[in-house]
Order: sequence, then C-alpha cells, then structure tokens
Amino acid sequence: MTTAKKIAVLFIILGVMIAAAAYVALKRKPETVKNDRLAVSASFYTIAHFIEKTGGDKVIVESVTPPGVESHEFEPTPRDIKKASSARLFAFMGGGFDPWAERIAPELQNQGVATLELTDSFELIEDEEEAAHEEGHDHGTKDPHIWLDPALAVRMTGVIRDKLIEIDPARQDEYMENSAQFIKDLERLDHDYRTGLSNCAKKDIIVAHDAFRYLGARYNLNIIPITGITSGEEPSPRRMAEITRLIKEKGIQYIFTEPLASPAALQAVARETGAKTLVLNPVEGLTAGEEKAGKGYISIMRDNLDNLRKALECR
Amino acid sequence: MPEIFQLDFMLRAFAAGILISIIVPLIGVFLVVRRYSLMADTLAHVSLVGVAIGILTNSQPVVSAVAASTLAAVAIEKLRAVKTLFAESILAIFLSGSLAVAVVIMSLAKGLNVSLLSYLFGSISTIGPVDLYMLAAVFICVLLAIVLLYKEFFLVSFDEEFAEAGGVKARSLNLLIVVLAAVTISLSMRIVGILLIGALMVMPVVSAKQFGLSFRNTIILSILFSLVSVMSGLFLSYYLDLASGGTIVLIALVIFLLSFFLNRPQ
Ligand SMILES: [Zn+2]
Repeated sequence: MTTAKKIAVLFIILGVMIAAAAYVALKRKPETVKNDRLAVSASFYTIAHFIEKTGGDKVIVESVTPPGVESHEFEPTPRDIKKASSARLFAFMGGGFDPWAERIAPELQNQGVATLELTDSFELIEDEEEAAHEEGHDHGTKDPHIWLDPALAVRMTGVIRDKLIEIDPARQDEYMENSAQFIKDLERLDHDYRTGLSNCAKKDIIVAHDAFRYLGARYNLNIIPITGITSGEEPSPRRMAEITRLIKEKGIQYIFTEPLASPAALQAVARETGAKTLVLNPVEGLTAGEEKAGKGYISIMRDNLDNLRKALECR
Repeated sequence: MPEIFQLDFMLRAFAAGILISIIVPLIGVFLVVRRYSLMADTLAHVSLVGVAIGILTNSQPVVSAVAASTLAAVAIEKLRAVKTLFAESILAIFLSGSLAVAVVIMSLAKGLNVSLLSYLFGSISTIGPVDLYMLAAVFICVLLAIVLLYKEFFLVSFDEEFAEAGGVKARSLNLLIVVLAAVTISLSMRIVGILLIGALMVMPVVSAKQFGLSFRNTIILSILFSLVSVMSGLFLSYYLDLASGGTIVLIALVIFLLSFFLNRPQ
C-alpha cells in the first residue's frame, strides 16, 4: 500500500466509525412535543417544584440539575444548555448558589429566554468570616439558601407568580389561584415549625454544610456547620476537632447529615463523640429514591421538623 | 442552521477548537522529535498551579495559568543547562512538585471543586470571549514564529550540537519553543482539560510519524489528524452528551491505533 492509500484507508475507517456514532446520536434525539403549555427551565429541584406548584398544569417545567446531583457541584453539558434555551423562562437562585446558571443566563437572554434570578428579590445574609479574608469582591460571601425558611419560601412563591404573570398574562387567574393555594400550605408549614420548635430543651444543631442560617434565624436555632456555604468540601481535621469538643461540651446527642453529600466526616465525628446521626435535608435536589417515593419540598421540610424536634428534645 | 451552531458558546468552542488543533501539533512535533513529550504534560500540571492561584485570588485563572507555565518553562530550560541533572528528572520534579503546590493552594481556597473539575477535564461551555481573543493572539504568534524560524527550528530539533556549531542560537530557540508550548497548553485546557492536553499535543504527531513522510508533510498530516479529532470530538460530545476532552482524545487514540496497524511491517 502506498502512503496516500494508507491515509485514505485511515480516514475511511474513522469516517465510518464517526458516522455510526452520529447515527446513534441522531436516532436517540427525542422529538419535541408541541403544546400550549408554558415551557420553563429551573436551575434545580426546589425552584422547579415552586414553579410547578404556581403554574399547575399550565406550565411544563424541567430542572437542569438532574435528580441525585447537588446543584452547588453541578456543571451543565452543552445539551443541557441547549434544552434550557428552548424554554420561555429560565429561573435560578443566583447569589453564588448555582454559579453555572449565572454564567449561562446572559447567553440564554440572547436566545430570547426570559431569566429570573430569585436572590435578586431578597436581602441576603452576608458571610462575615469569608468576607473578611476575601475582601474586595462579593462572590461567594452571601448565603443563598433562602428556601429553607418557610416564611421566605412564601415570598419566593410570590416572586415566581409575578414573573409567570409577566410572561404569560393570559393565565393570570390560574397563577394567582395556584400560588395562593401553595402559599397556604407554606404558611401552615411555617406555623407548624413555630409551634413545634417553641418549647425545646436544646437549641444547638450541628449540620454538614452551612445551609440553614435562614431557618436558624427564623426559629431561633443556633446552627453550627462543619463546612462552608458550598457543600462538597471536606472539613479540615482542626475543624473536626473543634466540632468534637463542642459536642462534648454542650452534650449534643444528634448531628445532622445530608442525603446528597458524603456523610464520611460527620460519621467520623459521630463515632468520636457517641452522638447519633439524623438527616436534615437542605432540599438542594431530590435523590432518585425520594423522587420515586413522591417526596416534595413540603414533605421533606416536615421530615426535617420531626428530626429537629427529636434532636432538640422539644415537647 | 443545525442546533449545534445556534449557541454562542458552541460557536466559540468550534472557533477555539480550530485554533487549538492547528497550533497544538505544530508545537507538539518539535517536542516529540526531541523526545520531550513529557514536557507537554509537565507544563499542563504547572498550569494547574496558576489555575489554583487564579481561583484563590478570584482573578482570571487562565491568565495566571499562562504566567505559571511560562515561568516554569523558562526555569526548566535553565535547569537543563546544568549537566548534572537529567532532563527527564527535571520534568518529573516539576510535574509532581507543581501538583503538590496546586493541591496545597486549593486546600487554602474553599469550595472550588466544580470549577477545578472543569479545568482538569475541560468544559467547553465555559469558554468566554476573552479566552478566544487570547487564543487568537497566541495562534498568530505561534504561526509567525514557526513560519519565520522554520529552518532554525528544524535544525535545532534534530541536532542540538549541530545547530550550535552552525551558529544558530540553540538555547534561545529551545526557550521560544518551550514558552510557546506553555502558553498554548494553558489556553487549550478549557477545551481538552489539563489532564488530557498532553495527549493532544503528542498523539496526532506520533500518529503522523508512523507514515514515514518528510518532516514538513508529517507536520501537515498531524495538523489534519488533530483537526479531525477536535472537530468530530466536539460534534460527538455535543450530540452524545459526552465529556468533550475525553471524546477528542479518544478519537486521537483511534487515529493512532489505525496509523500504527496500517504501517506495521508485513
Ligand atoms: Zn447549599
């Protein structure tokens, strides 16, 4: 074989392989369903859930972060972004919670997608500790976990409702009605937290990542996080020693883990101190199991309340 | 227009892909013929130090990556002049040493898991307009350097002593090649990723060399191989939802295997 022939053979074989892969890709492509529902894309589960509750059967909403994945640690593929760009609205948290969403938002706007950054409508708690050693910019120094306070979740629903009405004014009545119903549920949740946590023997809780400041501020709990605002970090040995000492000092019986994060560090602390672990779910995404079991924001928050009451010895 | 070209960042990815796939093998060929393939990987790992510093100080990680790898390139070339050290050992020290520095810096900066992964393995949706401008500038520099100094590079690559005796300033040419490699690698990591860029720099060149062509034609064929790898890799990674860097390098690997077996002595 001459060299030219060899090169030709190489490109033919390669071409066939790539064509075969391309064929698989194109065959797999789902057809787009045409209907008159308002297509909305949300950066993660909780926002998608709130939009679903507000829009009812008039919207079709999809979470870009898939089940079982923590939104802090997510990075969308080009196809995810393409999918989001075919929606009418892209809603995300902002405030450093979903940095990838903040990055692609301008891109989606160029494609004619309306965007909603939820933390824009809220006064966020500043993280003094991180602000102190990272002066000069405000990236990653604010706490975006507003949905964990049911009272702020009510306001979040209002912001979502207003945005849906702005985009789709024809269905204003439905959006008003649905959101009023959901807000009622959230207010009942807030009420149950208030009464459930009003008479407790303890008020200190150890949590995995620093997601519960708004919840703590609302119901007067003292939140002690093992790591920072972004989940998925490993705590330093020094931090773990500090926590261990604190647990022994305060006589804490339970420490809280998260379903989507590795519990290794917390389990080590639990072994060290003899404390037991309970789940306190920051509702940053559903696991596949929770999704199957039909769990949602409100039922998870109720489980959280039960576990908090157990740990804090409430009557 | 097919949907893949409707998104700005995919257009940027393809534009960056074309620029990268031309200059990466162009640099790579000079590294490979001098048995200096490990240099690419070493400089990529040094870039990681720059990325870590960039994330820690919240500045542009690509800029600090370019700075770090360029400095390392100069240091490596200076150390090579010390005859008591083997070139190979210097590279090994820089490779693992920079990894250690990067890991320590990262433990100082909190919460950079995600962005770090996108640098390690490449993430084409993060390529911004600034990345593209810098890449275009480097593209022009590399092309100019190779075209203007082709003969000198050729001589210095094949016989350093001969090049020295022939009056060519071998050392400064070496330095130039290595610095160009450093800059190219740092700017390519967005697409291919730090852990895989070395492969893209070496594989198309090694594949092309299997055909026993002239030096010039080997360069042309290796550019062709890398263009095909990057372009089809970007297409397939988009439509099959695969990681771009891995897909590109896998195609380069297939090309290498085909080149190797087609040229096996009968
Ligand atoms: Zn969180």
